[in-house]
Amino acid sequence: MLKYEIKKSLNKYSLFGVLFVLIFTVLQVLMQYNYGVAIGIVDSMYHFKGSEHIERNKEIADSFSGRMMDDDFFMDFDTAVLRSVESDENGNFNAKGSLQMSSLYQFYGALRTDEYLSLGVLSTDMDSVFVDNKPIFYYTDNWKVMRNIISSIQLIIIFAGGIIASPLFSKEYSDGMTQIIHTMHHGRRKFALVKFASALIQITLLYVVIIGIIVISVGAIWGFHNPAADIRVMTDAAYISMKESISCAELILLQIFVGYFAAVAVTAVAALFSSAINRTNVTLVSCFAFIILPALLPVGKIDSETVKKFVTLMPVNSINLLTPNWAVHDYNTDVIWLYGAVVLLLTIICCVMSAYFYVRHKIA
Amino acid sequence: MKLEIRNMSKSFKGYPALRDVSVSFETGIYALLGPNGSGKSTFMNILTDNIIPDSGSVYLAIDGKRLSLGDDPGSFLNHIGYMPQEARLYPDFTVSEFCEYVAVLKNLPKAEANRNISDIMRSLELDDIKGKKIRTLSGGMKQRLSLAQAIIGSPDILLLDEPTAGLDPKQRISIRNFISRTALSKTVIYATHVVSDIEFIARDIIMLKNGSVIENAPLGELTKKIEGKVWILPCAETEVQKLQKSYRVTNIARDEDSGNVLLRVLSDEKPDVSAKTVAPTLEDYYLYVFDDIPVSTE
Repeated sequence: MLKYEIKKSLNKYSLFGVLFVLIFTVLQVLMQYNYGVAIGIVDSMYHFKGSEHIERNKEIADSFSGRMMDDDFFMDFDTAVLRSVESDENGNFNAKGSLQMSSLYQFYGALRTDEYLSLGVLSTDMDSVFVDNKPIFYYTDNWKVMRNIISSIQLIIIFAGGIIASPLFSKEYSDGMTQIIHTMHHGRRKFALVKFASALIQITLLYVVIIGIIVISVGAIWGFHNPAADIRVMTDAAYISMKESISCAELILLQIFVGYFAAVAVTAVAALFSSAINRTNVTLVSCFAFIILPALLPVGKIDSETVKKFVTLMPVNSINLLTPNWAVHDYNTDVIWLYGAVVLLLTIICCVMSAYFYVRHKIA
Repeated sequence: MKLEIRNMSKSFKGYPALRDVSVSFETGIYALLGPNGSGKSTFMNILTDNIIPDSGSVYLAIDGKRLSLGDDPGSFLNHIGYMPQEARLYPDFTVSEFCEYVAVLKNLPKAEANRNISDIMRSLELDDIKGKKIRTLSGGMKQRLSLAQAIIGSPDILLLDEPTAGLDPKQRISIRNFISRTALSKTVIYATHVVSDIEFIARDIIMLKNGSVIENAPLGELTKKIEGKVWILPCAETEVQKLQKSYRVTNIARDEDSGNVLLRVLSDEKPDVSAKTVAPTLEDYYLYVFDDIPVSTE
């Protein structure tokens, strides 16, 4: 039954959809390669692009590898970056007046200003965090690029989950096939189960292929250096303020895990809508509303911690779980498990309810 | 085997679609005859558990068991093959893929399924198009495929809702003959408003009007009721319009010998001295009951 169920989904529209996600993924990698200005140690919007940019950043970073990130480190780092820029470009950068010399240097410099602290983004006093537990510096541009691309693609894949599952039952209803299939031996519960399996396989395949492309291409271009590096080395305030730190490779794995479960949860929600709604386009709109609406809520202005946590656990926000915005709120390993439990429960409830609605579906 | 429907009623938004219908079926073809909106499809959809009746019950006595649709729809429906009036099927499937899929859904063992599908395809002349995608099929081919899916697995009861809708005369005859052959050991409930489809193959005619069963009898009994009320009235061509205003004319033909026009008239009384009674057909009775031929007012 499964192969026929998958075949139902394979049409020119689904192929266009997959092609779109593939092209979008490749474009993301190319964009980061050519215009990855905010990633590197040396922001080189005007002068360095592609492999030259990558090599320059890595060269500087490697010369500081293994050093503890204390005040001396930042001073030396800043000097090295400036020297690198001046020696290569003969001072032309200064004439432009818009060169950001070092994102890392600038970032830590900004952290120490009253103006930045008054923004209230950080809940922790940075200096106190760094006094006792300073991270060791390593080159981590590769992981930053990977994290950024995965984050943006995960959102697309979450929507793809909705697109895959929206016609699951709605189309059978609108095409009048349920009337026939309900009379058949496996036309009810097993049919619904196979539909879930088919949607799960499709979203999993899409996810694995796309994430695989990202990981392999980023690894091929930027390399898989320093997977054990502390993520606090990345120039993100949130990572520095984290109560628990993890390695870059762990961050990527967790991000892949979180995004996958978000995609599966949205697929299950779309299946639920599909089982209750007769028209595929209405199902799709409902599903997209489910994904988007929580993201439109002003989470920052919500007082209740429980509501805030609930809203941030909605699928569209889940992909931010391991990115700075989310982590600033409340990152720790407990949240990951809580997230996993919530998403799993949501998925199971949606599947059971959609099977219930499908089996009891009547035309009048 | 006996399928029994008792006191079945169903209303949609206060409008009664079926009113206290009680009827039973054994082996053979039963015609469910009535105009559009008479409740035929509602009846079929209740038997396939696609519509819940407001009241009434459906039982199937088979192999010493008594299955209730309301209590155990799964077991009941295992004996049903259903061809709905409209279904889009799966446009991206080929004909043979679709049949194989139906066989899987009906839980047929592979070898039996292959044999069964092969027989049905041959009988319904689907062999030549088995590799074609459903989206490329004509209306007639899709109808035959829809019929094929209902028959796969040899269900004991076949529910066919307007199976010849949209078919040309040759295809109608072909499907009709196929159904006659298939029905030798089955119960076939054949819903239609096309009298000629079932006139010669149905053992009993069940007529539905506004959701009520108004007739349930063999063809001979029905036509007997209007014996002496069907007339052939010869007239000149110029008189046709005038006579249409006065009588229910069911057919107009030309007598090649005399050059006259021959009107087939439904009338309780002899319309003219020249009129002769003829043997009534089911179509005459249908028109008589449903009063579908208005007396022309032009």
